[in-house]
Amino acid sequence: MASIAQPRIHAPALPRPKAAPSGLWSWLTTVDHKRIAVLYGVTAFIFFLVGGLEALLIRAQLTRPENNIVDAQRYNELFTMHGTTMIFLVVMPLSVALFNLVVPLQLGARDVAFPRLNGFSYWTFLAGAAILNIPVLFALPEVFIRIAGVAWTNFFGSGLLTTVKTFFDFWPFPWFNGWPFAQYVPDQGWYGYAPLTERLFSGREIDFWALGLQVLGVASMAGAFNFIVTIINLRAPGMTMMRMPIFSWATLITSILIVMAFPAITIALVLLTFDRFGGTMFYRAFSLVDGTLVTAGGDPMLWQHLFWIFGHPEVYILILPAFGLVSEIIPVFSRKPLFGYAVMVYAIAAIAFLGFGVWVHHMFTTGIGPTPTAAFAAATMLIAIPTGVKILNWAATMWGGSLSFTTAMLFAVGLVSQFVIGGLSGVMHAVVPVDTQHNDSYFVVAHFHYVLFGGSIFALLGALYFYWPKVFGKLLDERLGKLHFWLTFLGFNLTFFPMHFLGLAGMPRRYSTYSFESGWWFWNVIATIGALFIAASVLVFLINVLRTAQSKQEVGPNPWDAGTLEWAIPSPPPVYNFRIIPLVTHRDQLWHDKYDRHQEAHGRPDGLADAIVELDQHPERAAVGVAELEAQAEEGSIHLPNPSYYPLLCGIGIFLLAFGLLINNPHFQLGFFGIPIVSGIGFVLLVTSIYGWSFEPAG
Amino acid sequence: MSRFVPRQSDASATARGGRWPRLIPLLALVGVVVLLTGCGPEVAQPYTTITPQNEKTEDIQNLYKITFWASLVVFIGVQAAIAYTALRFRRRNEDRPEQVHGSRKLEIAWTIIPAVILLVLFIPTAQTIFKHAAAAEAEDAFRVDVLGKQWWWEISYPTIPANPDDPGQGPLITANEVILPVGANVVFVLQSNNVIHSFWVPQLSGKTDVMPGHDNRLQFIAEKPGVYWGECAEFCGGSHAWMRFKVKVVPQDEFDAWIAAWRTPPATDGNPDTADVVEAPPAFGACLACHRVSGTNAQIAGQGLPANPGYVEQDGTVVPGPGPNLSLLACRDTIGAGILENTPQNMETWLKRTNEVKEGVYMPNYYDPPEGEGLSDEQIDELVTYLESLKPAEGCPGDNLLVGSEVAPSDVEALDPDQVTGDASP
Repeated sequence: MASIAQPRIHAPALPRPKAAPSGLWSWLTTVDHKRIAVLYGVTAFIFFLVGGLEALLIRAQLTRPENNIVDAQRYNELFTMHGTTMIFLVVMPLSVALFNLVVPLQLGARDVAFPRLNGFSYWTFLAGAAILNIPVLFALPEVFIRIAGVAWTNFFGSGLLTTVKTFFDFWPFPWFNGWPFAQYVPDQGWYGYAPLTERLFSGREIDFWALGLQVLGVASMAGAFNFIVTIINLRAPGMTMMRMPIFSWATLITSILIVMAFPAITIALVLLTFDRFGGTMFYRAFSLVDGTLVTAGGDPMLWQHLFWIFGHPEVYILILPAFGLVSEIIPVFSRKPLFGYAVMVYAIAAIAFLGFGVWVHHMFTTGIGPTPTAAFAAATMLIAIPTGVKILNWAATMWGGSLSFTTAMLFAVGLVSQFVIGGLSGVMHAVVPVDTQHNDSYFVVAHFHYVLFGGSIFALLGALYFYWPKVFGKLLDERLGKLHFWLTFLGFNLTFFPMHFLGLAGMPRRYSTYSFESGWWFWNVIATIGALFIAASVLVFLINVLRTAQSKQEVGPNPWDAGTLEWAIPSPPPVYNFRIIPLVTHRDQLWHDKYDRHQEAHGRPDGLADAIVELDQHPERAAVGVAELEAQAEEGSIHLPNPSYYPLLCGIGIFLLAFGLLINNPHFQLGFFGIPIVSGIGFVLLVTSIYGWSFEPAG
Repeated sequence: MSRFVPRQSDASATARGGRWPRLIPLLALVGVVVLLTGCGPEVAQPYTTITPQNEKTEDIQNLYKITFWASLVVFIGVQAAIAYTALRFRRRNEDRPEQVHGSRKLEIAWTIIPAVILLVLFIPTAQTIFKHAAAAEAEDAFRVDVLGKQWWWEISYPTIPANPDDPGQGPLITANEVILPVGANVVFVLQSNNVIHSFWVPQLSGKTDVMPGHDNRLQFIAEKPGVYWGECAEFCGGSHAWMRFKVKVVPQDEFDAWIAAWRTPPATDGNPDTADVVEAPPAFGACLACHRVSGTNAQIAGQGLPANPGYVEQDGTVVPGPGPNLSLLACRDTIGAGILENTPQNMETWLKRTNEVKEGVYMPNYYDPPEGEGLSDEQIDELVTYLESLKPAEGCPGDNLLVGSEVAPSDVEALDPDQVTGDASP
């Protein structure tokens, strides 16, 4: 594998970027999985801040009854974008960042199977994120100026509010009718139930949401296929499926879930777009003809089925990578192998499989009849079994271990402890009569935050601490890290535990405000205080990142004494990852090489991973020197993918294509003889880039 | 099971001393949570789900109790196990612990035990699902039709004609308040011609979605007189938070009186100035585009309300649909589905600043319209006087009732279930 003769392709001489070690251009054209991981991670973290800001505004509005920090319209936009952002632009891409970083290294591969497709996934993801968030970019300043105005009015009397209003009525470009895009923030909730999304009851903001999600779907599908192929084909010699690290298993199964679940929402959104622009009636029970309501024959239930056939597996797309990460972190800091590895793999697979058979539990109150209700209740309860096994196996991994509570370990154990709460309230929802009281109330909000924050976010934050040295060669500060964890843990519980009480007190979700008589204010005040703690914890993390960036430290390949292959190579890893592709004989290869090998009876010299470690300690013994290897990488005889313009250009093309359709309306008048010119440019760019990509030599 | 016995630590005595300070944040957190749970203020919670007021919610509450206690046991067990493990197996030296790869016995055990617990939980769940579903199909039940609108509720009684002499006038219709005779076995038929809503009276029943194109049914027995607060629980756009309603369960005679009052013109002593408010003021003509008042001339003037649900054109033009029926309006507790208390001052505010009070409302502002001249202050005053006079001389139904959350649960249990039958339809 060290040297592969490249077939010569006679291709048109298209411009190609040179492999550069640094600089903006090297990032824009990169196909290196480690760099793409950083791009995903940074982007997702920025959106984590945006989504968090939206959450803080939501909490501010709900702090007291009949508050007017934001109006109902803006509030609806805030919770819609908070949910959409946190799911599609934070947890999913953060998971993908870790897939990208960890999986090829764990497998002993030099990159993913399709490196340019990997770049394409990222740029397309960014295009979708931009489509969803361009309206937010314009709306958020307006929200803050309004808040300032309200505050001013409360303290100093009216006056400023009028000035602010006048300022926003003024827009110096006459071809834009008003403050652009600010009225296009999606406002229908993250699951966008038809017929609220039909044109009769909504505006163009739905198109931003629908098209943004479609583009994100393209990115997710491309990424998922890439990881499936990578994991099936690029495992190091000797790494059987059951010797594969558990996070790679989680990645494989999550990717399969993505491939099977996303088509459902793609179809749902296509049908919605037909309904909105083609006059079809997939989701419309009634239609308005000449001002009279007539039966249309469509059914809003169709949307709910299609959406949740995607939406419930999506929940597992969000949590299974977290389970994988925790299964990596806990054994390392317990200095014990994962308890019941095979059962843990089966449990992930079982959760994923059952995850396709429980979507109706989101629809228990839609009146689907007792038999399907009971059947889906049973299926939902079944999922608790493999999940419970995972929780107990993690606890058993810790039992008898030598536990070191680093920040990463704290977050991982935090998941085990907090996910239990979300899991138990999940079982309560499977008890359907109880669910008829809890559904769409704050009890559900509490439940899924315990699962997605106490689950996914905890694991992802822990993984940041765990893998930070591998990516950047520096350890995040542990003291600040522990402060980060405890602030998060405290703030998280203060924010979301009271929501159980609010739900039991009958507070429905998605209420922009509530009356004093409803008796909900007390726990809302507590929840807002908790949200401030979470905000503080994020600040602590940012300080930690900045301080670590400034610190001068160098960590070795394996600062945590972990057992999987990614810890055999230097931190940060060289562009080619492994000088020699390792031979795998055991699940925790490095532990085996370090602790167990000499105890084995036959004592055969197995484990080339061991050789890698040795190479790092004694580079002079290497048959191939570091300089020589890097020279080989440079000239292409180590098979490394070259940087490419085309993934980026494809992403830009898709963005212009979609965005052009969205702004091709009378509001912007950017069409030309009815032809959407921006989309046209995007389409041409996309097709040209795919053509160029096809003929770009691989080596 | 010897491999689960931990290593004996020589330094355990000293290590234990250093262990507790690390626990302080955790203990502090537990303390805060316990403190907060205990210190929640004693506030009335009219939407609460945990003080059932009839058999149906009692069923739900019983199931909730089972799941709650089972969950609490599992929760404490798992958290204690994690905390204990975390404390006991802290790293004290650099020795490598025994490498345990798993235990088939244990893993089988903690697969089977949850399965058994869940099976135990599933049996009463399924029983209750089928029991409640069967109850909603009852033939002899008292039917009430509910039409969810953006953002209010239209309530009609298909078995009670608006005019007994002329069935063509349709059923008795009201809005945002469901008046029920005590003991009625009610089946609500939930309909929508616009978006999805969800009909939820937490103290009387779980919620059921109001799904366009589906006539979903929701049943409960109104066992105890009282006022029960209800709300919309499915996000339905702009003013979703202000789609409240009330269920007023009144004695049978009050219910009959309410029907009679609905059918007769309002009392003439409602307004001391004109002495005859049966005649609506001329300005009310504008309201007739969308509203009706039964028992007055307002019902006769103009036939046929708009046939659309109310919507907004893509260019922003608001197209109003039919509005709430205003018969006995002055008896309702609130204006705008819960947003304002029903007082003359608030009615004036509502008429003058409709769209500011309730965001996105389809009712146009006739006082300060975007184009043309609106109604004068005097005309608004006339309208307020007229609307606030729309109530029976002998008083409104449910005037002296307790709010549901104040009714003691023991009163409900004391009720003889045999008396609670479906023969309440008048």
